[in-house]
Amino acid sequence: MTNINLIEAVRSYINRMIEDCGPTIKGLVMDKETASIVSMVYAQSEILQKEVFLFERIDMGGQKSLKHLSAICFLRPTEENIQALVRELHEPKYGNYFIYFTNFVEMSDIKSLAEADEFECVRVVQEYYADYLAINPHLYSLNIPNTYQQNYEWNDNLLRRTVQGLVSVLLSLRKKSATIRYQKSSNMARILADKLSSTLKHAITPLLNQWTYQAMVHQLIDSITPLLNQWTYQAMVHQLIVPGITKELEEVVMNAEYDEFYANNLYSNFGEIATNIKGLMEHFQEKHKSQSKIESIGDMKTFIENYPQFKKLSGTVSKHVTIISELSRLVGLYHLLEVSETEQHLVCQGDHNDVVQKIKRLIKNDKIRDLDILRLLSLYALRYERHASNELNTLKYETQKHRRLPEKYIHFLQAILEYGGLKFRQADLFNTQTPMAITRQFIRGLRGVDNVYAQHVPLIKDLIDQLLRGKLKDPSYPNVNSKDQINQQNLSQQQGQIIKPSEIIIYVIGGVTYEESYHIQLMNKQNARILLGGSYIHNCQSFIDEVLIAVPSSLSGASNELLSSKRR
Amino acid sequence: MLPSVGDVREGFICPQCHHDMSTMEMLQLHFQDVHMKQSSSAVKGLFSLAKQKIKSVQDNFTTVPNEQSNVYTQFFSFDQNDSSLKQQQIGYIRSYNDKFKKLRKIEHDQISIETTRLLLRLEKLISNDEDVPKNAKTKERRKYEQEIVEWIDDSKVSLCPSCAKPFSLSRRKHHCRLDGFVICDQCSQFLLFSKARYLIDPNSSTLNKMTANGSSLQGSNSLTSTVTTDDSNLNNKDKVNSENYLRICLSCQKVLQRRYDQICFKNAQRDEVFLYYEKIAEAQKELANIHPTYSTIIESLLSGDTKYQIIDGQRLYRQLTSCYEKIDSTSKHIMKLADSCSNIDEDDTQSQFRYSALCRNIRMYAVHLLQNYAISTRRVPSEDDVQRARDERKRLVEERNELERAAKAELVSKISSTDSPTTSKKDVSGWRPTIDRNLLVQAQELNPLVQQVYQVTEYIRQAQIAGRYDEVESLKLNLKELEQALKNMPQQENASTFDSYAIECE
Repeated sequence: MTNINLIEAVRSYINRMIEDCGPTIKGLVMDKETASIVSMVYAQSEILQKEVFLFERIDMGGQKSLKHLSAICFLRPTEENIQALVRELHEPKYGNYFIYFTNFVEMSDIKSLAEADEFECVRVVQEYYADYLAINPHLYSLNIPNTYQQNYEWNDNLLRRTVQGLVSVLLSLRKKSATIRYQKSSNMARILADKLSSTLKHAITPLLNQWTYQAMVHQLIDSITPLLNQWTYQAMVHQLIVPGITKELEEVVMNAEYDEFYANNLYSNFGEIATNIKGLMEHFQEKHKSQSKIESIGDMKTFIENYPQFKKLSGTVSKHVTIISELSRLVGLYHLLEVSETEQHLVCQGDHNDVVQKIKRLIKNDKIRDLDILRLLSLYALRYERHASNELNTLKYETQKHRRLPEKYIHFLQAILEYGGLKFRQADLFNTQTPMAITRQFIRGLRGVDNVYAQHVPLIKDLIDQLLRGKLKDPSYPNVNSKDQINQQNLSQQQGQIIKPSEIIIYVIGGVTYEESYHIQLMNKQNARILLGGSYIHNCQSFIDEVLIAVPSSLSGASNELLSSKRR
Repeated sequence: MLPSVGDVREGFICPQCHHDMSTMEMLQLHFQDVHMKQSSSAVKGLFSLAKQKIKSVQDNFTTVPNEQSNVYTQFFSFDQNDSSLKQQQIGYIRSYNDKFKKLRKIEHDQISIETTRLLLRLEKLISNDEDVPKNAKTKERRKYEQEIVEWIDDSKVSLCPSCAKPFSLSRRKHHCRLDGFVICDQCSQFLLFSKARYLIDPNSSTLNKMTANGSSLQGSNSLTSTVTTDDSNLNNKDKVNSENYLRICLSCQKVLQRRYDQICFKNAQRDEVFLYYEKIAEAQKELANIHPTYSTIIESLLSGDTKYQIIDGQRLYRQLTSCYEKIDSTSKHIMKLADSCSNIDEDDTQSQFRYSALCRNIRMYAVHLLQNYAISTRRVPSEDDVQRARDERKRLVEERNELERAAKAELVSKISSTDSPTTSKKDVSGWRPTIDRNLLVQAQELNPLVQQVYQVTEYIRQAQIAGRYDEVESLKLNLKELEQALKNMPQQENASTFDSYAIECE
C-alpha cells in the first residue's frame, strides 16, 4: 500500500506534458502561479534534462519567432491567460502549442482559442488538474496569503480560486466524490463546502457509491499554534530565515525532493538536527580526508570517480552548516529557548502566577524581540481571557514601559481576542475542561514531558482523532451531500457497517503551519491517510497580518486609541 | 517504577494499572478509588523525575519514540485489489482536442473556401500562356480579366466602399481584379505576379528563396505593395510598373495575406540554434549507442577475458571522445550565439533575453550530459593491467581445475572403495562447477548420457582456460539439458562401467 502523494501527483502531470510533446526542443510557458506550482516539484536542472530549454511567462513579449520550438503552455484558466494565448496564437512565436489548463475551462474560451488559431499550430488542449502547491507529500497550499477579508467574508475571486484548488486536489488524486464535512460555526466554511460539493456534482459525472473519502473544510480557529515557536527544521527555516538576512542565505534553495539531508530532517527538531548535521560533517570529513591524500594514481582515479558526489556532498554540508549555524545564532541571540519554554508552559500547564512572573521577566530582557513578547502576550490574553485575576493590562503596561511595540502589534493584541477569543471558539483550544483532557494531562504529567518545547498539540490533531473515532458531532460538523448519499450512509450504519474513509483531506481556511503538518506526518507514519492543506503556510508574521485583515478595523482602531493615549 | 507505556492502547485506560475501564465514568471512579490515595506520594516522585528530565538541557529535545505501530490503519478502508493504491496513477485528465479541432475547422472552412476561390482566379489571371495578354494597359488584357472575374457595374457606385470618399475626376474608379468590386486608387493594393505565383505554388517559385532569406520572417512582411499616390511611395510604383501586377481590393488582400503568412510560417527557416542542436542530438544518439558496448568491453578486459582486445576498447574510446568533443564544441558555439543574438531587433530586448536563455540552457544541458557520461566512462586499461587480469584469471581457472581433478580422483577412489553414494556425497569437497551432487549420485548408473556430461565438462574446462566465454556459456547450456535428461532417466544400477569411465576420464 503506498500512501497518496501530492508531490507525485503534480510531477506525473508535468512528466506527461513533457512526454506528450515528444523529443524536440521544448519551451515551458507558465503564468505566475503555475511557475510556482512547477518549481515546488521540479528543479530547473531536472526539467532541462528532458530537453525543455526555455522557461517563460505567458506575458513575455518579443517578436523574434522560434518556429521550431514547441511550447508547453501550462496555465491557470484565467481570463488574462486566455487573452494572452489568443494574442499569442494570432502571431505565434512557436511552431507548436501544447496547451494545458490547470482547471476547468469554459467552452467559450475554447472557442475563442480555436478562432485565434489561424496557423493551426495548437496540437493539444487539455485540463491537467495541478492547481495547488504541493509542499510535502501530505501538505498542500493554495498560496493565498490573506483569505480573510473584512468580517470573515469571502471575496468572490478567492472563493473561486479556493474551490478550483480543492477540486484539483481531488481530481489529481483520482477522487471523484467526497463526503464533505465542514465546521458549522464558520460561515466561510459552509459557503466553501456548498460550493465545492455543487462544483463536484456539476463538473464531473458523479459516481455514486464512491464516497469513500472525507474532505473536511475548516476555518482556522486554532490561534495558538501559529503563535508558538516551532522547532522542526522546516518550520524553523520558514520562521527565522527571513530573505536577505545574510548574503549567503539569499540564494539557498531548500527542496526536500533534491536534498537528502533536508528531506530526512524536515521533521526533526532542533536538537536532532544538530546531532545529524554533526554526523553529516563527520561523514564529509572522512570523505575529505580520503580525498585529500592523493598519492598514487589509484587514489587519483577514485578521486575522479567520486568527485561529483564529493562536490555535491560538500555543497550540501556547507549549505546546512550555514543554515543551522544561523538558526542557532538566532536562537541564542533572541533567547528563543527560554521564550518557547515559557510559551509552552503558558499553554499547557498554566500556573497563573508563575506565568505572569515569567512574562514580566522576559519583558524586561531587552535581548528578546518585540515579536516574541507579542506572542507571549497574545497567548496570555487567549489563555486567561476569563481568568479571575487577568493581568493582561498590567502586562501591557509593563511592556509599554520597557519597549515600544509597533502600532501593528498593538492592533494585533486586540484583534487576536476578537479572532480567537472565547466568543468565537467552540473547540477547547487549551484542553482544560473536558474530563478526557484532564486525564490526558495527568498521564502526560506522569510520563514526564518528552520535549519541553513541543508539549502543545495542535487542535487539528484532536479534531482528526475525533473524526476517526466517529466522535465528531454532526451538528457542529455537518455533512453537505445529496440526500441519496446520506440515506445510503444511514442505511449502512443501521446495518452495523461503519463507513471508513479511504483518505481524509483537510482544508483549513486561513492557512496552516508546519507544526500541524508535522503532526499529520506523524500520524501518516502510523498508517493514517491524511492530507492537510490550507490557503497559506503561515509563520507568525504572516498570521499576524492575516488576523489583522480579518478583524474589523473600527475595533482595532478603538483599542489603538486607548493604548496610544496610555502611552502618552 | 512506572510500567512502560510502550505499546499504544486505546479506550479508557487507567494510567496507573493499564486496565481498560470502558467508560469515562468507570475510569474516574476507578482512579479515585484505587489510585488517588496511593498515587499522591508516587506522583510526587514522578514529578520530580520529570522535572529532572526537563532540567537537563540535553534531554530537552528527545522526541517521541518512533513507534512503528499502525494505530491508524483501522480507521481507513482499503481495497486490496484496487491497483490505484499500489501505485499512484496520474490524476484525471480532460481533453478538449476534438472539440477544439472541430471548432477550428468550422471557423476556418469559411475562410479556406474563400481563399481557394481567389487562388483559382489568381492562377488564371497570372497565367503564362501565350494567348494571354500581359500588358495591363491594353484592352485585350482588360477583356481577359473580365472573362475571369465579372466586374460590377460601376455606374451606381458613387463612394469608395473602403474609404467612403466620393469618386470624382481626380478620384477615379478602379476595379479589383479578383472580385470585381470598385475601389479608389488610394485603397488599391498591388500584387506582383511573382508574389502571386509564390502564393499559388510556394515550392517552385523563385520567390521562395527570397522570402526565406529573411525579411519575411520579421512579421512586418506584407504581401502586397500598398502603393498609393503618396509621393514617398512613387518609387515603389515605378518598380511595380517594371513588373506585371494586379490591382486588388483590401478584403482580397487580407485573405491572400493570411495565406501568405501561413506559407511563410510553414516554410520558416530553422534558426541556427536548432541546426546546432540537431548536431548535439545526433552525437548524443551515437553516444547512447556506443557507450554500453564500450562498458562491456572494458568490463571484459578487466576481468581477464580474451574476447576483446585492448585495441577494440581504444577504438571505441576514440569514438566516444569525438562525440564528447562534438557536443562540447557545438554547445559552446550555441553559447556564443547567446551573446550575439543575430537577426533580432536591437530594441526587442525580450526576444534577446529569450534567445540567450535558450542558448544558455542548451549549453547547460550539454554540460550536464557530458558530466553524466564522464562519470560512467572508465578509461581503457593499460596493457599491463589487462595482462595482469588475464594471468590472474588463468591462475584461478587452473587452480579450480586442479581442485576439480583432485576432487574427482578422490571421488573415484571413494566410489570404488565403498560403493556408497552417501559417503561420496559427504567427502567431496572440491569445487565442481557443473556437476551438482545429485548428479554425482545418479552418475553411478552409467549410460551414454553420463559420458556426454563428462565430456562436456571437460570442454568447458578447456574453454575456460582459453578464456572463450561465449563458448563456455553455450556448453553450459548443453550441460543443463543433459542433466535434465539424466534426471528423467529411469534408475539403473551399473556402477562398474561408471568406474571404468571415470578412470578413463582422468
